[in-house]
Amino acid sequence: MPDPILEIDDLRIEFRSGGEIVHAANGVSFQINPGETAAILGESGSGKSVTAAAVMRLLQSPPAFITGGAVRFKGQDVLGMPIAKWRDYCGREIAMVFQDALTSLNPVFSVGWQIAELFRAHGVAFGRDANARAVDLLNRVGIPDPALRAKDYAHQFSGGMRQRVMIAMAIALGPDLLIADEPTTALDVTVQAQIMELLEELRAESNMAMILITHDLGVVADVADNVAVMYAGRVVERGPVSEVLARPGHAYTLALLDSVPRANSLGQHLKPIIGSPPDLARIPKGCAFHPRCRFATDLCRNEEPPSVAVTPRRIAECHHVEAVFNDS
Amino acid sequence: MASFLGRRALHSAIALIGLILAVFFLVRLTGDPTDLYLPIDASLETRKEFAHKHGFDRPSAEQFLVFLKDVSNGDLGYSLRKQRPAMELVLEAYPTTLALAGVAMVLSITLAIIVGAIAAYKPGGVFDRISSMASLAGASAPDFWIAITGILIFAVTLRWLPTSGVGDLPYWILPIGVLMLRPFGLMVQVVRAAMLGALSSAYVKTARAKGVGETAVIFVHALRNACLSIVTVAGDLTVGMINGAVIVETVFGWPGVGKLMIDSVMQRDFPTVQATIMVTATAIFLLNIAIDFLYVALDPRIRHQ
Repeated sequence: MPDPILEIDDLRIEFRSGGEIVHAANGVSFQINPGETAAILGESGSGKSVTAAAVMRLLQSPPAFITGGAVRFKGQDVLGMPIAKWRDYCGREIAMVFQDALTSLNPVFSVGWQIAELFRAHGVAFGRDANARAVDLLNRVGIPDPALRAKDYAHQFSGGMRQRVMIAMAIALGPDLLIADEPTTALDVTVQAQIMELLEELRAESNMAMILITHDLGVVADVADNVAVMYAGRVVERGPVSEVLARPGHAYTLALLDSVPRANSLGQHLKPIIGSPPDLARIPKGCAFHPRCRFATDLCRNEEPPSVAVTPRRIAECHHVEAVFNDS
Repeated sequence: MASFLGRRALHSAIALIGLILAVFFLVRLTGDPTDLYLPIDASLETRKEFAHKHGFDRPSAEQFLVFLKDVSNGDLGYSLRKQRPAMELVLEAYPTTLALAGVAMVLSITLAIIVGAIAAYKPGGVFDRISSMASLAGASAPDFWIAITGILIFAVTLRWLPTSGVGDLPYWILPIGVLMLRPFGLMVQVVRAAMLGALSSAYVKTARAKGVGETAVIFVHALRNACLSIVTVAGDLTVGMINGAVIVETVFGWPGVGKLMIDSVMQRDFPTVQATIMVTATAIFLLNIAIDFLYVALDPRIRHQ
């Protein structure tokens, strides 16, 4: 086994505002190896984007506070290092693509300027050289007339093209790890596929590792090697995608899979997960999923579930792993 | 762009005509200049002669038509006080006011951007609280009172600065300080609010994720966006500075347009009052056009509409 490129260990994040404490991450553990594609799957509010923001050290404090755990990138302690030193890693060795490219691009600078900024900020290239490299990147992510479009602004691009610009910025300095936070959520379905294809292509070219944050099971199944399923600020199940999706070990993963309409479920009712995700200021005692779970017993209502090795490469935090496993 | 400018010019022309009408007739309500310009025991003959010479014996409507005709020929009349073309007086006074207002505006915008940006960087922090309080005080303090108190403290009691007049640096400190106070206070609040919004935006996150240094994040990415609202308010404040200039110039005996305006009103020097106001109104019109251009230059989204 190679050393993981990124390790998140028991990460805890709180948001404090108005006397209320929102527990956004409650001991998130996750790792990814070089060259691997890992997906973090979860509903809105499950803590997946917050975790990514914490890794990139983009959380505004206050209101966000990291109250425990560690993040290691290439063996280096991320949360403890001076911010200026971490910023030097950002863009160069670890990069991020955000969900909404329209608001994530600066509206008053041309996209070419914003891409070239990476070269300037990291002292790689300046002036015309940096601009020429920006044009090359636009070409690489499939933007027609790149030399001309480099002078345009974010609002002059279509949604898909804007996301391509974001991707161009992320890969500019050939990072070893790319975090893509719901990169296709804001896009049309047809464009979604193109963007995922582009990401996968670029990833494979440079053997970059990629963390794909998404709530889209289809995307996970298509591109990821490993998956971590998050619920109420914890990774409740993780393991190889093929195994986890074929036969979940956690009741939540199972419910999630059951809720997806399939080609052979024509004419049947959809099976949504009943109830709504927990209020993170008042997470239920025991297993956070128990109010919505059909396997729930008194044990689930009172005690936090242990981490169970479903198979040697898989972990699920559920009191009823066997029952779930046999049910699926 | 040409049609936009044309529309803008038309609106301004209409406003200017309204303004001239109002000024022309209102200033005549202040009384008869003859009383002020002739000795108290002047004979009726002399009075009539004076009124006739300046056209005050004709009906106001007729006076107005004559005035319009003169204006269209570029003639704004003679100052009653100085016996010189009113326009000459105004143009003489303008550079002094522009220097005063220009320095005050540039200083208050620059300082407000620095203070507002630092305050917004750590909202609720010590610096933010102090600067919020100070800027609120600055924005609310009545400038005539600050001006007189300033003279009392720094000129009369401490004798550090001259009481009034124009000269080298020490003469500028009090007038500029007083003139800056209100725009600075307001601008700090505007910059703070605009920067607060910009700093919590998604594009600032992107910039940080790219590894852009914090100074560039604040003063390039965030400030460049905050500029859009800063320019709007700064434009209004620059226009409003004319008001401030009237008070400051009067208190500090600064020979600018503000003082000229007040002196002319006091002396019922109608042609000079009219000329000052027309030139000032035109300057404001030009300033507004400049702000529009600046807007277009600053925001590519407007440019491409």
